[in-house]
Amino acid sequence: MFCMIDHYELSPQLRKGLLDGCVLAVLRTKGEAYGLEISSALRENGPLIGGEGTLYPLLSRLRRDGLVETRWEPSASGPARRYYFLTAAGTAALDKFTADWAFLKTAIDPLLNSPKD
Amino acid sequence: MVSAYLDSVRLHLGGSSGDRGLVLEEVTAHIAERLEAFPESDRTPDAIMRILSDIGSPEEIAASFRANNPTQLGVLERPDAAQPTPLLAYVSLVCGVFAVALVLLPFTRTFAILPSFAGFITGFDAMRKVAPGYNWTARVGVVLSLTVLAMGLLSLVLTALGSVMY
Repeated sequence: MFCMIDHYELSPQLRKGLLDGCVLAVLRTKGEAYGLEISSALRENGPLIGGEGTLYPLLSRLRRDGLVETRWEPSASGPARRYYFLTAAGTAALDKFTADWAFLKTAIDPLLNSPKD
Repeated sequence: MVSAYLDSVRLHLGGSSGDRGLVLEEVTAHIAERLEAFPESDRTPDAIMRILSDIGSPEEIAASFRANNPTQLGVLERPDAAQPTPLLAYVSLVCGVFAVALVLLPFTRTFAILPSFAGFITGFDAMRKVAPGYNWTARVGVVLSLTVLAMGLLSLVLTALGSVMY
């Protein structure tokens, strides 16, 4: 069923709502990460983002909203990297997202999987 | 190729100040990072195109910027486009119709130049500013005004030619 997952087209509206939580989750897992790392992680299990470049406006907003912070680090192999990491508000937002996701799964899965009358 | 792409991203973002600059900076670093993964000899135009395609079109990045910054509009989404000014379009239309009427009446042709000029200016301004729904009103106004202006100029040229010839 998921053999074509590399080409799966997620509904843009759904993606928009979920992407913030996914980015925050990547940052919690990695501790901190730079843009290319985040976009690679978001594509690892399926294309959660469209173009990799579309991630940066989102990261910029998360930073403006105080959910992530950044720091620069020189890279031996190329340009300096801007590392993103969660703030306390970001961690709280991710906890809320996790709870919301669990709630949605519990509420929606039975609807999707219920047999025909 | 990369600098043309970045120029296009900058254009679609509507500049490089504030958050737009950060996005541009990150996209630039992202491209450099992706290019670093290729040995110099493998950086063919095809490989670079593939990288740019993975990063997404400038339109896609600008759309993401707009979605994440609804209060910071790009150059392709001017603030005045969100605030239609239909009055200008209607003024242009009325001026255009008035100019045509003046041209058709026998003793008022000379005065048609005034409303036609006003119609052209307001219609042109309206077409730059108003929402697409109103553009046709402005367009009709501009076309009518220009027609009358052209007729006036033609008449002037013919009169001048006539006076030279005879």
